[in-house]
Amino acid sequence: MISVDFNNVVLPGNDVSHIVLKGDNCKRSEKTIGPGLKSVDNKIIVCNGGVLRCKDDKYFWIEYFKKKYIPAKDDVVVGIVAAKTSEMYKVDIGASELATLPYLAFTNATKKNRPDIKVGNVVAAKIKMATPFMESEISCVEYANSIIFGQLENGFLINVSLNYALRLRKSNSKLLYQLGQMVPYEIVIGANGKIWIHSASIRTTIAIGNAILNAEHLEEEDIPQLVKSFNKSLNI
Amino acid sequence: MSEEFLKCQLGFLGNTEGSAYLSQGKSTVSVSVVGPFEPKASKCMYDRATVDVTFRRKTGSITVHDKMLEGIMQSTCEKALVVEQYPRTTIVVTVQEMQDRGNLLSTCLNASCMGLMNSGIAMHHLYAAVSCAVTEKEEIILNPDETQINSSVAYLTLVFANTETRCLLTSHTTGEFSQKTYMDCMDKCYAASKEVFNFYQKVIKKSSIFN
Repeated sequence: MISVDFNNVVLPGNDVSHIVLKGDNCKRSEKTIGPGLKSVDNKIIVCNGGVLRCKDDKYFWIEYFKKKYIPAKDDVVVGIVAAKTSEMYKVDIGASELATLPYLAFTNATKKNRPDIKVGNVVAAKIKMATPFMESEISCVEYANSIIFGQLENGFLINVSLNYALRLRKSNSKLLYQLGQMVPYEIVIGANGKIWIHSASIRTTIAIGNAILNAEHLEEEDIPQLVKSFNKSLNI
Repeated sequence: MSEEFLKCQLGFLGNTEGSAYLSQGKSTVSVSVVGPFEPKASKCMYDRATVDVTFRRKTGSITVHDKMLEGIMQSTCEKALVVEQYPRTTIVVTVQEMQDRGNLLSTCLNASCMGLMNSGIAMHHLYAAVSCAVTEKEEIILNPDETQINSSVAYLTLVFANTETRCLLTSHTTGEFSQKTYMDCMDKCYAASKEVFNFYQKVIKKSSIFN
């Protein structure tokens, strides 16, 4: 048996129950396992090769490289409208199937007042229902205090890995803040790895897109350097 | 098994979910993993994912022997993947031969394992394939080269899982050998598979760049 330590690399098939279930300060029933872990015969088995992470000695999950999105309820996603039927849109959100978006799932939409979205347009939406056995359903209805959903116009769409998208969505992401100090822009980062960017000119939009793509494998300290060269490319 | 024997590069293809380029001795294969995605209605299974392995030769069309290799890889991959977690989808694994200088089956299997792990699809366990040849004097050679295979009386490829107990997943044999020789081969290959798992761990450690 390969020994497994905290913040260390684990492989599928490793038994990590001795790490997850150790300690008396927390009851067994209070432990929670997340993505990449499963419980088989009272043992905690790893499913994905990556780094074992833990929070408060209570929550355990595996951080691993992933490109394919699997829908989860209440995720904010960016999708491309792929088809139109009489009752709903079919939206490509990068999952194994197209998601459905009913015409009535828009703010202020009625049977008579239909949203005007064409095939190929980009929308931001929230996942309403997600099971592996059915097509997932998304909705663009906005509630009080919710973020703005609906069609995204005149932007530019880039694809990144899911890990990077989640990292950018964290509030302590320096890159987006520093880019914003150089040039104003709008950005929507979907949990499915699709990022929509819009700014005053096409030139700056593409520059921002390239800066985000280039920063994927950079350390936090190297970001000011990247932003500097980004600023230079704008002034040429 | 020396340090130089196994080499691997992960994620070298941009448009696939996972990819691996693995060389074992002088044999090299590249693997791409696509999916899980929605298959044709005829291939769709309502409670599990289907696994589709395609083998491609460097030149020419595939033969009956290659089809058999596909079958071995398909059943091994399917056993390792958590297929129940992805119902109504297909996972396509494409194995491309780059150079064949013996031990092609074990190279393909090890490469497909790395490819699947790189794709982030949930797996029950990893697997490692080890080949060995039995000479006329009943000597066992691990990872034989081409001439050693051709002069041997038996050639075995055994696949093990990285579970706590010894778990033989696949056994592919050609030639004649006694039961005792088979058990000896199994012991030797199992010991060698541990080194392959250590190599896997090293590769994953190198590839996990997380902040």
